[in-house]
Amino acid sequence: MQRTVSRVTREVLGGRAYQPGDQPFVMAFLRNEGGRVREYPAPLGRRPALLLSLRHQYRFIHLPGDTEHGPWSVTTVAYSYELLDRSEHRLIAYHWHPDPRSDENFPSFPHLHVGRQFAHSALPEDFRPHASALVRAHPPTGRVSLESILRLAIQELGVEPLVERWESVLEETKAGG
Amino acid sequence: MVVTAQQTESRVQLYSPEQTREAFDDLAQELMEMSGAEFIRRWDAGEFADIADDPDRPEIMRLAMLIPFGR
Repeated sequence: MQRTVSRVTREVLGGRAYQPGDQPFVMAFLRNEGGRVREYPAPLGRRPALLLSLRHQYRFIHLPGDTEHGPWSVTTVAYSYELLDRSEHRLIAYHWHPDPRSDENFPSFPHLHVGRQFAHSALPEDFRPHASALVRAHPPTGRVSLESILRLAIQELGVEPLVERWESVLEETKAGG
Repeated sequence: MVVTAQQTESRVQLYSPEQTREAFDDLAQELMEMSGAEFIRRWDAGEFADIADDPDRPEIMRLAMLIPFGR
């Protein structure tokens, strides 16, 4: 995952050192500020206009008989990939957070959020209620990969990658799971 | 530990449970004005279920996703 994000940011992902058990782990952009660890959104690209807020939950699974993927593998159990502007306003967020307490306001299925600023008061009067509903909605997406979010950021949202060879690396890391 | 630009391609920074618990506690205090332990207790009790994914309260899901740091 660090190899993936290093195409567009010099920031470093962090997490907790492995401990035995079945609890999930989480990866995020972390930095040490004066001895205190802090989570933060990472600036993207050569001239950052967008930030990436990333929280990726995963578990280690033991596959002792699996010669291809074992004896240990990692599986994603939840994610939050959010693109923010420089003021940390959310533009778009891709979430998947399965929870047995889910309901229509807290869905288990993968979905996206459109930033609140898109429901602006200057919108045409007829359209405004639809925009307001959309920013509160949870449009389903299917599972999305971090690589596809970074591809969106580079190809359609103006993020300039830090290295020329970004596309092949995103393909490799996506294929590698 | 100093991390160089070349190392950022493949390395992640690992922290101790104490460090991540402290980070989670700091964030819970900043965003919710409660301790990390209290946020986890109230999350587990379902107290935030109605607003867990509310676009007006993004701080709740931000913390919820980071709960493994706080346990």
